[in-house]
Amino acid sequence: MSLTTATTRLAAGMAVAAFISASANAQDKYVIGSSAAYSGYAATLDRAWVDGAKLAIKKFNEQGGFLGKKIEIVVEDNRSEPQEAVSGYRKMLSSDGAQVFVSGCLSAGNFAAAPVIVRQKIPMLVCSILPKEENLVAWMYSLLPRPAHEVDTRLRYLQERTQIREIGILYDQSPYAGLQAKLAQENASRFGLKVVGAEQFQQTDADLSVSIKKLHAAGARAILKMGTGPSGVTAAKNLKELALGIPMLTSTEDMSVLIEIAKVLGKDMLFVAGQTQVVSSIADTDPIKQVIADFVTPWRAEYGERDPFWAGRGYDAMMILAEAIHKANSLEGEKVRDALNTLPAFQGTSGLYNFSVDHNGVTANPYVLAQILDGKVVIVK
Amino acid sequence: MYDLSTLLQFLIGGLSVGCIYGLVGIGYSVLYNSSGIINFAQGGFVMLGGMLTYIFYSLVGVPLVLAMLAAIALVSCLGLAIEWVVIRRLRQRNASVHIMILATLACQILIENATLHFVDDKPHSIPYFTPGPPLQFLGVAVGLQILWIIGISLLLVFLLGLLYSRTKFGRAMRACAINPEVARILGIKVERMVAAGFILSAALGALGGILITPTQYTAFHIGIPFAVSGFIAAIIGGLGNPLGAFIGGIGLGVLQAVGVVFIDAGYKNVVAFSVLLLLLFLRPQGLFKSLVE
Repeated sequence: MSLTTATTRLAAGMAVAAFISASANAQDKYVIGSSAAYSGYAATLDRAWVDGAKLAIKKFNEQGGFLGKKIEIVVEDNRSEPQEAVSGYRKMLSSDGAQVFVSGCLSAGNFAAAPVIVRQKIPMLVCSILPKEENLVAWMYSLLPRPAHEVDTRLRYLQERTQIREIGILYDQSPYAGLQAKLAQENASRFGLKVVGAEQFQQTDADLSVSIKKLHAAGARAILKMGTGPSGVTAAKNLKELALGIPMLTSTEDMSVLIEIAKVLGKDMLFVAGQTQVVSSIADTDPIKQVIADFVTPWRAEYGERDPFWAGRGYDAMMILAEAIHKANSLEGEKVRDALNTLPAFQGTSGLYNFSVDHNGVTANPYVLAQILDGKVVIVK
Repeated sequence: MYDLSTLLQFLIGGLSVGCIYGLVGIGYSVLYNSSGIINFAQGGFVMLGGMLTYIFYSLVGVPLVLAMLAAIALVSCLGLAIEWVVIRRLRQRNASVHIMILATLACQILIENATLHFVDDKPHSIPYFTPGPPLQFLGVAVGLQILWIIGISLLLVFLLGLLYSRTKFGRAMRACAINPEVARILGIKVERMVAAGFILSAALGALGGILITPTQYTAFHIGIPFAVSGFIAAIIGGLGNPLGAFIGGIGLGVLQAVGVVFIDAGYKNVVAFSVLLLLLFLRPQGLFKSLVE
C-alpha cells in the first residue's frame, strides 16, 4: 500500500469517525463546554463554579436530561491563562461538539474566544464580565452581578459609616479587577470620597508592601482590593507588618480566602458578601432563602462546609439554561439564545437574573458588606 | 516627594521580597554545584515546605518546630526520589542536560497537581515564628518574620560557603558539576554527589517555603512563580554561587520596589528586568563568579 493510499484511507477514517462522533452527539447527548481554571489564581473560584454546575447537571440527568438527552459537561483547564482558554475552547468546539458554554471567571480568556464561538452561534453563560462588542454580547450572558455593585457597596459603607474620605486601590491584572478600579475612581466623588492612588499587582506577587505603603503615603486611610484570589492574604499580612492600622475592603471572595485574611486583620477586614454567605441573616419570607436551601442542601451533602458562593453561580447558570431550553423546546443554539433573551426574571442563589433586560443578568445590587468576627460572618449594619 | 522614613520603608519592602527570591535562588545554586542541572521543581519544594508544615501543624497537631523538621525531612526524601527515579535513569540513558531540566519541570507540574488532588486548592498559612508587632525604628516598621528570613538566609550562605570551600564533601560536589568524568576517575562517586545535591537543594527549598509562608500563604499553585523569581535571582548572582543568588534576589526585589515607587506598580517588572538586561549585557556571567567555574 502506497503512502498516498494509506494517508487517504487514514483521512477518510478520521472523517468517518468524526461524523459518527458528531452524529452520536447529535442523537444521544447534550454537550456543555466549560473553560475553567483548575490551576492558577482563579482555580478556587472556577472549580467551585464547575462543581456547582455539575451538581445541577446531576439533578437534571436524574430527571431524564434536557429534552430526553443526557447532559455531559466537558471542562478544559485554562490554568488562569487567556491563551490556554482559547486552545481549550477550540478543542471543545472541534472535538467535543460543545452546544453551549458554561464558562468560568477568566474574563480575558472568554473575551479572546468569544468571536469564534459567536460565529458558530453558540450561547455562552459565563462567570466573568462581558466584552464591549455588541455582536459578542448578543450571545454572552454574565452570571456575575455588575462590577459597580461590588464597588458601590464598599464606597457607600465608607461614606455612611466612617470618617475615611481618602482611599487607595489595589487591583490585579484581570479585566474584572481593572474595571472595578476604574469604576471606583469614577464613582468615588458621588460618595464624597477621593481616590489618592491605584496600584496594580500580579496575582503571583510575593509581596505588596511597597504598593500599600505608597498608597498610605499618598493619604489613603482604607485600601480597596479589587479582584479575587489568595493575593488578599498577602495584602493582609503586608498591612499588618506595616502596622498602618487601616482597614482593607476586599471584593467578593471564596470563604477559604476570607477566613485566612480575617485571621490576620480581624475587624479591619471587610468584604463584599453574596447572599449564600450570609444566608442565616436572610428573612424566611425572602424568596431567595428557599432557592439557596434547594441548592445548599445537596451541596453540603457532597462538599461539606466548602463555600457555596461561587458554586451557586454555576448552579444558577444551569438552572437558567434549563429554563431557556424548556421555553425554546429545542437544543439549537439560536433558539436557546432567543429563549434566554425573553426569559422572565429568574430567582437564583446569587440574585435575581433578568436577561431580557440586560445580559448582565443581575440588575439589582445583591451584595452586603460583612466581616468575620470570632469565626462567624456578620453583616455590617 | 517622600520623606526619609517612607523611603526607608520602601527599601525594607524591596529587601523583604528580595530575600524571598534570594532564598529560593540559593536552592538552584546548590543543585547546580553538584550536577550542573537547573531544577525547576525547586518551586515545588518551596511550596511543599510550607504546605507540609501547615498539614503537620494545623491538621495533625504537631508542634510547629517538629512540623517544620518533618516537612524538611519529607521534601528531602522527595528530592532524593526525583534524583533516583528520574535524573539517574536519564543519566544512564545519556540524556542531555536539557532533557533533565525539562524532566524537572515535569516533576514540578506533578508536584503541583498531586498537591491539588491530595490536599486542596485553598490558601493556607502557618504562624509567624515570633508573634508580635513589627519592630519600629525611625518611623519604619520591620516585620519580625523578615528578620528570620534575612538571618537564616545569611546563615545558610555562610554554612554553604564553608561546605564548598572547607570540606572534602563540598569540593567533591563542585568537582562533579565541573567535570563528572574526571571526578569519577578521581574516585568520587558522582551519583551519590548528585543525590546529595538533590537532597540538600530540596531541604533548602522546603526551609525557604517554611520561612516565607508566614509572610503570605502557601497553595498548590505558588511553586512556579517562586521557581521563576528564584531562577532569575540565581542567574543574576552567578549561577552556582549561593551568596550571589541571595544578593541577586535582593537586587531584583529592590529594583521592583524602585519601579513601584517612582514609576508605577504595573511597570515594576519592566523597570527591574530592563536594568537586569543591561547588567547581564555588561556581566553575562552574573554579578559573582560561579563556584563551579
